[in-house]
Amino acid sequence: MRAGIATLVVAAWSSAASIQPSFSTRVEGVRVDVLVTDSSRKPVRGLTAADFSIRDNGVPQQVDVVSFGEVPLNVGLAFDLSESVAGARLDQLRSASKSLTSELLIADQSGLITFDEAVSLRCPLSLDRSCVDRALTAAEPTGETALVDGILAGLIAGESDVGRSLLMVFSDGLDTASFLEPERVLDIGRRSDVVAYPITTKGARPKFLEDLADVTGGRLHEVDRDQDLSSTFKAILDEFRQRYLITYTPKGVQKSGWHKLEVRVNRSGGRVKARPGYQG
Amino acid sequence: MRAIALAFLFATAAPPPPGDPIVVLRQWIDAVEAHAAGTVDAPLERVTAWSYTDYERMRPYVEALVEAPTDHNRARATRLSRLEAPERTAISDLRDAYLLTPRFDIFRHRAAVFHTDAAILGVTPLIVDAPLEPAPQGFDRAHPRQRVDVRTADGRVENFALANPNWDYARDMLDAVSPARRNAIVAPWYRAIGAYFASRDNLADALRHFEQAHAIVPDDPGVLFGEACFQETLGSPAVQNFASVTILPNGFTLVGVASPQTHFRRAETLLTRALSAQPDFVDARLRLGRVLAAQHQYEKSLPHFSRVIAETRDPVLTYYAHLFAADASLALDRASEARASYERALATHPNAQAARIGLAAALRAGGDRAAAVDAVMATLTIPPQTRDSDDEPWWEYYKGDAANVERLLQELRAPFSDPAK
Repeated sequence: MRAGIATLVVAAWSSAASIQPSFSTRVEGVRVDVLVTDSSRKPVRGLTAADFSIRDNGVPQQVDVVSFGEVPLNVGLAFDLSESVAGARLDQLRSASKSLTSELLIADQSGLITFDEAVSLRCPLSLDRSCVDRALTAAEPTGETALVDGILAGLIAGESDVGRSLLMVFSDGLDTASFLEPERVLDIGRRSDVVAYPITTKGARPKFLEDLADVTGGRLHEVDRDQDLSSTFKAILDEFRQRYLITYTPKGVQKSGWHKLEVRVNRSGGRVKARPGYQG
Repeated sequence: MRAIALAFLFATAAPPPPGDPIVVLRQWIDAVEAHAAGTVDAPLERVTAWSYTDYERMRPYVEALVEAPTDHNRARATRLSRLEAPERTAISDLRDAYLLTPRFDIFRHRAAVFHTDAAILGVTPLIVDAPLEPAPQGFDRAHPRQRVDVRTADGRVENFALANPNWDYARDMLDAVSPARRNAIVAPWYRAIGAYFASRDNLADALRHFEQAHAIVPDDPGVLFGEACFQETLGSPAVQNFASVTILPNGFTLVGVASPQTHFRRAETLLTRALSAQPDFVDARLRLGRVLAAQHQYEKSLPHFSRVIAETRDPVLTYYAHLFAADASLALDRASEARASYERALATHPNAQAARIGLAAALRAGGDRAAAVDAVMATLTIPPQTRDSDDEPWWEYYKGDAANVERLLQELRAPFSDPAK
């Protein structure tokens, strides 16, 4: 789930096919990205605004808009290209990324940030499907791993464009070079509209990546060291497409400070995955 | 490549019966006297050609020659106790023949520099397979074991290497230096070699190095600073993350890696002592601020950074002080102060990634999304091939005193660059 006080652009939510929408309406609204699953963990579809209830710091709110699969996606990739990723793992990243971009819809954008000790934007968010492939083909893993700094860059760059932002992070999980403390980046994650799905190798499970998934409303995926990544990437994209985007205009709460969010779905057995709150 | 120490792991064969160690000892003295410090010359190569077993076999003879003390050193006392009376007499005769006694400290100093060169210039560590058998409980002196270091890159185990025995030899020489000369001879060596280990990410040798420094030069500000840098590195994410996820063969544990808070506390104590002896030690003050912040004592850290900024003209120290002050301010939820400090850091190093990413975090924390995007894009869009490591001092921060290593080594070698002297 994702949320954030946004000076946001309501028109965007309903203009599914618009690649360069123009926005004229500005409201102080909150966006909340919600995954609803049934008892067998399958996404529940067909819900409307009436099916959701939301509390902001305990105060019931009126859900304005619920969108499902209508808003184009901004799929940001933040990949560890440090020395530990060289070899077969890099080949898997290349192959999985190519499969992923082939699954994007016409208005979806993709972009790529890589990090060793340096964090680099290899592909800005765009409709160019081949940029990620070209960048990863040319990439040569080297150096240490600035995972925390790389994720901060991914979270902020993910807000550079209006739309639903998914950040897929791949790393072997060991930060060896970042400047920022994890807590600083988690704090930004709480304020961000970006939903992060970290992917890491089993055994290297850093608490930071678990926390990142929690505060942004995403989910941590662990893969075996030699496991193909394509199916994981596709599963994440599929899950993200099954999420609902809820917007509401906060009423009866202070603007500043931490806002605890409670999102419920008025159907029995429905489970909600949503971020725990947002920073006003 | 980073080296982290494992305990005594690798059993070696017991030393073979000495052929004629007194002859080898004489050759060693000749080599020490003839070596031009800082070069790879024939005298140096004669000794670096020794096997690990040769080093082990010859150590008590060399220790006896230079009269290395056995107080508080049971391992050395045990080694020396195995020397036979005729061997002791022969060693004493050699001491007289070479007229060592009147110039003992100079010879010991020269020998320490000789083995320093042997370690740095002459010997590459012997790579060994990962040890499969755990060491038995206790250290069996009848069957010596080599220390094995695990070498890592980017958080992964690369290989294992036997520890370089030349460092033990150099320390043996310095242990023997008379107390009156320790400040002049021993302390500079411990500072320079501590910086060398930092420059090579050699945590394994640094651990033993600073343990011995405690005993022999406990109050030297430069050595205290070097050890504080080492402790700070042990508490860093790179070492802590490696230690937390690395699976070693059964029965083995990494030596010397405790919790980050333990290392930061130790560093704080060492830096406080260094500053108490030398209040204008700006590098130490910067690091004291940093380790306080690492212990979440942000408010307490800020005056140290302010004082560094006021007292130094060094652009790297100035950059660090602004960078760390900014980070502390951000942690204290003072986004605008953090932003101002990050901008000051960028004034000294405009392409620095850490300051740029920190600035983006401060701007985003302050609610300015667009400015945060601009700030982060300014560093993300620097093409990887055009990045210069000088642009970002942070990437070298955990190398501690390494920035001074060339100068410090040069100063160590200078008195012995001419073998005739």
